[in-house]
Amino acid sequence: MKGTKLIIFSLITITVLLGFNIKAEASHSNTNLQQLINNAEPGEIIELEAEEYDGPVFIDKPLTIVGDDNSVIMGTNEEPAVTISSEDVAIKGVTIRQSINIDVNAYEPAILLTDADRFNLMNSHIESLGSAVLGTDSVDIHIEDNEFVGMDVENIFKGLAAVELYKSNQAFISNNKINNVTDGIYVHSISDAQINNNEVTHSRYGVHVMFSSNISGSSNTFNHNINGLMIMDSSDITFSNNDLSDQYNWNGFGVMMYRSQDVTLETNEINRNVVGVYIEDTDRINLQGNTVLGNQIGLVWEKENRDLSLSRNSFISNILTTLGDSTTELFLDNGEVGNYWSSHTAMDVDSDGLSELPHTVTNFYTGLISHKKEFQLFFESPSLSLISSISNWYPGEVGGVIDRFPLSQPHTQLGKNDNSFAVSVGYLSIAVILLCVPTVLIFYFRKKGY
Amino acid sequence: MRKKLLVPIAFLGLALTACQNASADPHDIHDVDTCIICNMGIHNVQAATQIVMKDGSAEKFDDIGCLFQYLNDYSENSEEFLVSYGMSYATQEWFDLNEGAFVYSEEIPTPMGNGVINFETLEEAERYIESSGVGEVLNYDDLLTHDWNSF
Repeated sequence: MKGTKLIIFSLITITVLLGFNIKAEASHSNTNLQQLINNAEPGEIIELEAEEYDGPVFIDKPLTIVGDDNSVIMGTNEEPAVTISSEDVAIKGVTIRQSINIDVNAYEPAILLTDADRFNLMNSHIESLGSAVLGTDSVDIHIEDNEFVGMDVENIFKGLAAVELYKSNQAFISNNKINNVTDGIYVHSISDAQINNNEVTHSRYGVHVMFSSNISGSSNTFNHNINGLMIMDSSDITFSNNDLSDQYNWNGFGVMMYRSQDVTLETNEINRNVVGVYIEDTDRINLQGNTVLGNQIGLVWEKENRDLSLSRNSFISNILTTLGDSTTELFLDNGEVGNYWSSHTAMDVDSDGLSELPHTVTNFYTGLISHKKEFQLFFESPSLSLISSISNWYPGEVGGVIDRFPLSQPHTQLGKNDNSFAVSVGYLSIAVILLCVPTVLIFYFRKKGY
Repeated sequence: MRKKLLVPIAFLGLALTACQNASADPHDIHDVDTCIICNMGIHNVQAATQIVMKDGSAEKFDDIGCLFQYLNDYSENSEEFLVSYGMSYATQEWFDLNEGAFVYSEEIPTPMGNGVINFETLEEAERYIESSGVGEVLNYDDLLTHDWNSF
């Protein structure tokens, strides 16, 4: 009898648990979405039911499509699910899913924009193999509070960007969550874009800027990608207060700047990447107040980098602080203030915060692997350590790579969420407990007369 | 007797191995490969190019524009260059760039935005233009004078 009750109870429990895991399937709509669009007056709002609607659809007049929480537009990656060729189109609260009949050789976008000025995508969820939003020749694009998910881990490099814009102006891309795509945000031949508060993870590049100008970004999080921020052939770029950490792919960069001009990086966290900051063939790059911590290599330069300005950055505990041709002339400061280098022995005699000893890049090992990368295998080997030490004590040919005004203390706090006080209190508490326990035991046993 | 023969055979083998030329075959593109010029990973394989050197090693590029920049930047080493290969956009097979056909258009997205894609034959290039409606055909000599920063 007792066993029967137990079996019945177990069956009920399993049934209830399984019940929680069964997702309610959205019912398939018999309503033709294209028909709704065709019948709508320009400027009208189409409210979708919590149903699945078949794509592809074409929008060629001003419209707003508002979805319920479970409104889904189904498409394939063989053609765009939604094609927009009109001004003033908005899509809000809709899921677009390109998940039927996947052809891994086709990468059509979920939403295709052409001449779609003032397009607005908000609170939507897009699952795609190709681009989620591919736009050209459009002005004043707003893409905000959306979630973009690449559909196939194996094929992310065949797909394109979550947001991919060409030859457009005034793009506002903010508060989006992007995961598992090729590039999170790709802008090509764009002027005037603001990229704020986005999160891009497990993708190729967080943001990829090419042939563009007047691009700014702040408070973005680009973690666990191959590159956090890639700036190529572009000018007038500013990125500040971003988290560009944990790009630990073997070829991972926190920030990479190539053939670009007038780029400013301010107060970013560039931590635990393979390379923190990489610059090649640039003009007027300004790095200011960034924390570059725990990378395999903090700063790498290649070719000529004209009018480079670095100030108040903190290069802390990078395995190699710098890597580049140390025989060229390159100032790692802004002419007045330099940076904190944890590998530099500072001497601040007059307590002005600046070390009286300049920080000169003369590392023997750095110079060696600049020319022969295979010598990385001997990193920190006894012989290389000895030669490096000797070359530091008795520098031979000293190049012109130098920070003339290094800081004696880090300029920035380590990490945005500095919980060192809480950690200290925790360790102190454990120490007190560990001391108290044997003390109490000793008193107890002595009192008992043992 | 057999043991006596082993030594000369071994020497002959070594000599033949030493005489062997380095392979001029194209190298495969792997996930870890990056472009020697722009440092981007070579993920869009159908746009990839490479130069195989006389010693059998290869420099790989994510975009044909990067290959031409390399030819320009390292022209003093040109005697080391053996064969330049491009990946056919149509068949994804390697071919000798000197014998290929190319399509150029601003509308064609390529990894470095140069807008030039590679085809093994003129027929493939013309078929692409016909199906996509964009582009003009170039040959290898045209690429030598092409303005790679045209847009």
